[in-house]
Amino acid sequence: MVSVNNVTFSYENGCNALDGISLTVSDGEIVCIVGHNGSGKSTLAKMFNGLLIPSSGTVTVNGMDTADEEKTLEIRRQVGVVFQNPDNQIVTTIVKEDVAFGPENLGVPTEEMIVRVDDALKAVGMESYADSAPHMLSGGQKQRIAIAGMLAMEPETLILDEATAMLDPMGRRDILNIVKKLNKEKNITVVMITQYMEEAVFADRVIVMNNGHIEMEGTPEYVFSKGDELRAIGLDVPPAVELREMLKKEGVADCGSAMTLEELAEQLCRSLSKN
Amino acid sequence: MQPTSGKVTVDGFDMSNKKQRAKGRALVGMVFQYPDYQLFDETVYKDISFGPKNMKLSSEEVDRRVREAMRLVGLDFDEFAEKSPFELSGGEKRRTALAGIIAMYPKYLVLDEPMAGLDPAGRRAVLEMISEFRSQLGCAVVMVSHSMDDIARSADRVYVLRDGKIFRSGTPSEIFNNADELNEMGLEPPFASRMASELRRRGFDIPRGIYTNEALTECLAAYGKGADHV
Ligand SMILES: Nc1ncnc2c1ncn2[C@@H]1O[C@H](COP(=O)(O)OP(=O)(O)OP(=O)(O)O)[C@@H](O)[C@H]1O
Ligand SMILES: [Mg+2]
Repeated sequence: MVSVNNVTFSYENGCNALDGISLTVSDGEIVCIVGHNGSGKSTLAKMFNGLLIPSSGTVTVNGMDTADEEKTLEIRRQVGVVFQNPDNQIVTTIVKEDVAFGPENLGVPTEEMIVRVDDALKAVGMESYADSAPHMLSGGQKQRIAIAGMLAMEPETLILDEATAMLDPMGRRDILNIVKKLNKEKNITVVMITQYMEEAVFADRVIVMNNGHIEMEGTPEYVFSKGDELRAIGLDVPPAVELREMLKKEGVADCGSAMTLEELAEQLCRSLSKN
Repeated sequence: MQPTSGKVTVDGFDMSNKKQRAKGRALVGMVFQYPDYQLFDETVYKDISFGPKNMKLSSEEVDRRVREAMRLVGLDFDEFAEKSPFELSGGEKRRTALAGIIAMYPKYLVLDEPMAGLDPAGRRAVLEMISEFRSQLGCAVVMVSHSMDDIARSADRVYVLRDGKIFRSGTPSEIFNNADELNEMGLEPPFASRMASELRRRGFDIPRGIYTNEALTECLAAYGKGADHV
């Protein structure tokens, strides 16, 4: 469990990036964070594993305070972060060495390491690339390797800070499916930051940031029923909800709380064949 | 970068010829996929003004263009002008890189995945910027994008590349007509055309060539009324 208690944070230049944030991420949860450019999402992500320490307030990971330097290594093991640019996260020239990099630094013995690297690569569907050169891979494949590198640390929580932003639609879908699977099968807690509202639809909870504070929070159904509020702070609703809003406004059909293409098609079938 | 074979010309300037290349380049403004590699100056203002300054414009004109470019990409002047580009969020960096290019008023604006990392309002701002730019300056825009929805909203002409070859070209409606083919290539057709295919699959009679929400809504409205009379 990660808890953020009344955290503020200012960068050295005086920019107040976080302004009194409190939130708890429970074990096994998928939480999605959305917010306009500069709203503080990445700053908050860096709080979760102690890459940044609050100016005031506290962040704890399973009771360990991120400000306690003695806990830093253990916190970094428990909470893995994957960032946006796939090229900046690759450190070696062979995929399996890259995946082994983190656990190696933790002193994991060789035999166990081999098993972990194997498992991690399998979990992201990249086992056949173990001996490949990372720079030959596509952006989506590099992100999978970055995720595998985190998995090899056996983390409890995975933070993805716009990890799909540079990928094509297929690459994005792949990463999302992997993340969902890891959550379901390994009970890994997921905190996902994204600018694609449709990626937030499958979260258990959506947190909406605005100018360094939490503007709104709730289930995707709830948050995406607030289209006007979201647009007022630089955000939007997923495409299915956008069409749903239009259909309702034009008096064509009321499609309830449909948020995906399939749900909307289903509702439309019902409502138009009823007429 | 030079082609292995073949020739690229910009307004007749041969890009493989050193002298002509400089002239050709001056007409083209490029924004790359990773803004980190494009920012270099101490402040956002200096960074954006670098290009126009090198064009020997008056300082008033430079200032006017910087302000205009910042407005077009949605960066508040008072908040950001004096900030260091290295102390910005990801999306703010991309907006700065975009502003630096459009302030040069290039004749050809080349955007490689300009939307990555932008929030929805930023994506809308860039689409508006593109259309404002075209109508005011008559500049041509080449956008490389994975987002078929953005393409549907802005393009006159679409080229689909596959394995380094031009696989399809045409108007958006011609290209998006064939949703299944795009799907197969790992591209995602605009939401409205995917929705239209799904409804067709479920037995609705939706005409081909629909790729915007507006057109789909109109079509479904007629559908609802038609069914009423049965
Ligand atoms: N290294 C830094 N030094 C100073 N200020 C910074 C730094 N990084 C970010 N900021 C500022 O802190 C605020 C929050 O930035 P942050 O990167 O957390 O935003 P974000 O929500 O992740 O935005 P984006 O969607 O663009 O990635 C912004 O106003 C930004 O300008
Ligand atoms: Mg960010």
